[in-house]
Amino acid sequence: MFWVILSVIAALLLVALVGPMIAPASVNTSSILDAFSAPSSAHWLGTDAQGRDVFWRLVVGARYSIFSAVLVVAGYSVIGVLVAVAAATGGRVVDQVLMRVCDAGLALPPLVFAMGLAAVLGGGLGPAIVALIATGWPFTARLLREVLRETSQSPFIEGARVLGLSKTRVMMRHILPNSLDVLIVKWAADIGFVILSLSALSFIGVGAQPPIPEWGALVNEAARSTAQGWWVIFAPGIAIALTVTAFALLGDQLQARLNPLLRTSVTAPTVNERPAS
Amino acid sequence: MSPDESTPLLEVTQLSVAAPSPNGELPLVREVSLRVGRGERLAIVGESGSGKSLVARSIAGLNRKLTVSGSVRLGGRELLDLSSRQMNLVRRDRISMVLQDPMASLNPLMTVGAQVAEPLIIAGRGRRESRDAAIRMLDELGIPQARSAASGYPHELSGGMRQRVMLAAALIAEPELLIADEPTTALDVRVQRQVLELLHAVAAERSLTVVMITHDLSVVAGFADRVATMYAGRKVHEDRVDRLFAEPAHPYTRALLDAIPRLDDPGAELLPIAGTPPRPGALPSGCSFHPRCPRAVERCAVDVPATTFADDSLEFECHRPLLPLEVVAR
Amino acid sequence: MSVHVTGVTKRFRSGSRSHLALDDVTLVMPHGEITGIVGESGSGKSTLARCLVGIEQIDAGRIDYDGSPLQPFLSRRHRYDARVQLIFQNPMSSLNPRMTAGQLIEEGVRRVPRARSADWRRSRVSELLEMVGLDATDAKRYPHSFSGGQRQRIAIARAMSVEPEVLICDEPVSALDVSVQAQVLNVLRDLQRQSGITIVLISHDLAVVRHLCSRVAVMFGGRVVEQGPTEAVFDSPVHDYTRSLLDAVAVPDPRRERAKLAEFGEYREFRQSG
Ligand SMILES: Nc1ncnc2c1ncn2[C@@H]1O[C@H](COP(=O)(O)OP(=O)(O)OP(=O)(O)O)[C@@H](O)[C@H]1O
Ligand SMILES: Nc1ncnc2c1ncn2[C@@H]1O[C@H](COP(=O)(O)OP(=O)(O)OP(=O)(O)O)[C@@H](O)[C@H]1O
Ligand SMILES: [Mg+2]
Ligand SMILES: [Mg+2]
Repeated sequence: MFWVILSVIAALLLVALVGPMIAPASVNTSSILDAFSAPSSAHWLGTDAQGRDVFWRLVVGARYSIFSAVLVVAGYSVIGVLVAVAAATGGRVVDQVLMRVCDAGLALPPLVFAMGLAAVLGGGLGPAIVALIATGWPFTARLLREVLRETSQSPFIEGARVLGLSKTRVMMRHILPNSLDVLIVKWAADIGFVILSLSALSFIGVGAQPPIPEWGALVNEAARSTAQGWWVIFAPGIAIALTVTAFALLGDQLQARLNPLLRTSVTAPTVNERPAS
Repeated sequence: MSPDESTPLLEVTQLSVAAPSPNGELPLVREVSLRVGRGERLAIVGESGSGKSLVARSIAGLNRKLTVSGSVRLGGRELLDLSSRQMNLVRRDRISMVLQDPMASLNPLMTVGAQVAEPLIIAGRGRRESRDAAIRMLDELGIPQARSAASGYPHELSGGMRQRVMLAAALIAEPELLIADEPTTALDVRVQRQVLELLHAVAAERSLTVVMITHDLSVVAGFADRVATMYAGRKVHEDRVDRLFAEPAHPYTRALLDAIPRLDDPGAELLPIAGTPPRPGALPSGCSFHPRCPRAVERCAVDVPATTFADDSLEFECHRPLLPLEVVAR
Repeated sequence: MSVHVTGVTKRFRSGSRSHLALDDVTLVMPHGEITGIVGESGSGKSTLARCLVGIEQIDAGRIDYDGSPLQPFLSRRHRYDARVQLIFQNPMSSLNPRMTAGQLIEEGVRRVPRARSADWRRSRVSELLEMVGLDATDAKRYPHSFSGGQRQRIAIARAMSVEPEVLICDEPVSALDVSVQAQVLNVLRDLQRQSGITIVLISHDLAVVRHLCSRVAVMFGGRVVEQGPTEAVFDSPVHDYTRSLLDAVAVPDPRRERAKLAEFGEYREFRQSG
């Protein structure tokens, strides 16, 4: 199962990487005569309103959709982790201030806030990415702060402290690595969600704009002409759904595999262990 | 079914338990046979993971998700063939279990009295009558002010008191067989002693048949009539309690006894058992214990020892047993 | 290093309720000896251990190491005084599951002033592993691949890596099978004999304490009710609680155990008839 999901993700990333290089040059040139031709051997997924090949537009668009999403998640994760670690190590005041800021961020509906911000920044793919990073980090920071708090109460953390290790070392070597599990699942699932959000921003016109074939933008364009060619909207829709699912499943699988404790199965040497009295 | 006097109350034959795993079935308990007569007390000892609890749970029909094979007969009646409904009836009327963790097995939202009375109510007895019986039972088990304690909740009680409540619930329906899985393990020394004394007294008063499971040999020294030692899913040794402690025939039982620090002999050297028990599915060749056995010879790594019945109470699986004098003399 | 605990009081407050976990505890743990602390659940043994290393602050009294208090705030970076180390009860949760045995021990080795060269650190890790009866090649394995007894020995090696003078062991063997508990107990005894370190052994198993300790303190409800040389306390206990504790201990001797159970049976019969 894990390998199936991983292959799907690898294939998607590969497409995103090399897609634009192997796509025929005609992918961006419109030829009105070919408009809305149904799927055939020449055009596997048919053509759109301007006669462009839907399949190749999708392939080229993968780069915008997937890479932008990875960028967004990476961006807000770095900020979120930094904020959480700063809050956990910086003392009470720093902790309180940072967490109140997070709470304020969490109180706003993220997509609406992102739409507003992207619009203020002038619209387009870049501003959409910045807007999603800006709305995303408080979730990571807040979640991680809680997990850090919980992990720092484990006996082995107390042991590391008693050994006299410095605060930074205890945080970086012991607490943080044992807290990131939760985030890894979140990251993978988030990539899917961000692809959706990016599409949503494109769809309402504050994200990527034509002729950029970002998948949301493709849906946006196609939505104006569903009656003439269902395949035009169907193809990017399926692509989005598939990608979102693949990343969500990846998150689940990663969680089980990355944790050495979860990896131990029935035969684990938990023998000799008795419940504490 | 009229129970014949000569058939033991509990007869376990070739009981095996296996867990499904990606590489086929993982054997956890391997062909264990036990016989416990009416009013007899058998202790099962062994290191953690040796399969003691699995044997206990199989007798009570609680291993529904694992593959259980062989035979478990209670008063001549086969239990492994019963449907889960029929097994529920057997557990209601004939077999009770007491477990290690009394808090996990008591419902925090039900009063103590209601929980003790529950088996009777399920059996169709009247509420009032059941409740009075529960209070009598709690009183018999030495719970102070049993009447008011019965209307309290489990969390208001100390660990030892909770274990008494568990015992009351286990005994109220007058079972024929009591299975106690580490009933004193989580308790303080003094409380452990109280629970043990109580268990001994009530079992004696009712001539209960008891199977007691523990990793602590000291706990069963005065309680059990016979002791069976398990290692890596097999019963490797069984004997009368006195002889097993004085002259353990199996080197593993001997090693377990030598590893215990003794209050009555503080100067004795503690001899740890080298290595660790094998994991299920990764058993050594020959005798499973040979890599850790101080008496092992070449043969032990090759041949699986067969069960030897030395006399009517001693049986063991070992190529190089430490035979008790009595047996050698014959 | 000898440890003197004088009039130590520790109170836990939660909301309006407060609980006196340590009540005027006075104790002596002589240099180079193993001192046992016994008592039942909730009697304050772990609280005392935590106060000794400075995880918990005491409310009153003083704890002196060789005549002076701990210096927990030597610097901002190192908040604890490495001369006093603590071993926890549960060996699974007291080791970081993501670090190998070698990395865990090396962390402590680094803290020693002469740990400049990587070679020295590596050989010191091997030395420590061998000291607790493990193999130098075990350094590459993760905690979950060790048995409970082995994990507890890794914890001891780790604590010893900072070259402490006092080692406090809070129920180091109560999570272990008898077969492996003997390994850990023997390691502790050898440690005390060879490096002359002061060991405090907390346990509810009186036989373990009798076997290993030259002194013992009995705690009950946050107080030390009796202390002294182990022989004296165990052979002629003064306090009723100590006596009842000793009477309750089960010994692997069927005849004696049966006699005890029979005694209770008679007492119960007598009570029920009268
Ligand atoms: N449901 C299950 N599925 C798979 N393996 C199991 C299951 N239950 C128990 N095991 C394994 O079977 C072996 C024996 O378990 P069991 O609980 O009987 O040991 P035990 O002798 O009672 O040990 P302890 O003293 O720790 O209670 C262990 O290795 C355990 O991990
Ligand atoms: N952080 C805490 N907050 C509040 N109460 C506490 C705290 N730690 C311990 N206590 C209480 O202090 C008392 C002594 O606890 P302690 O853990 O020292 O007992 P112990 O002798 O180690 O018992 P055990 O044998 O169960 O480990 C207990 O009643 C406990 O509930
Ligand atoms: Mg068990
Ligand atoms: Mg404790």
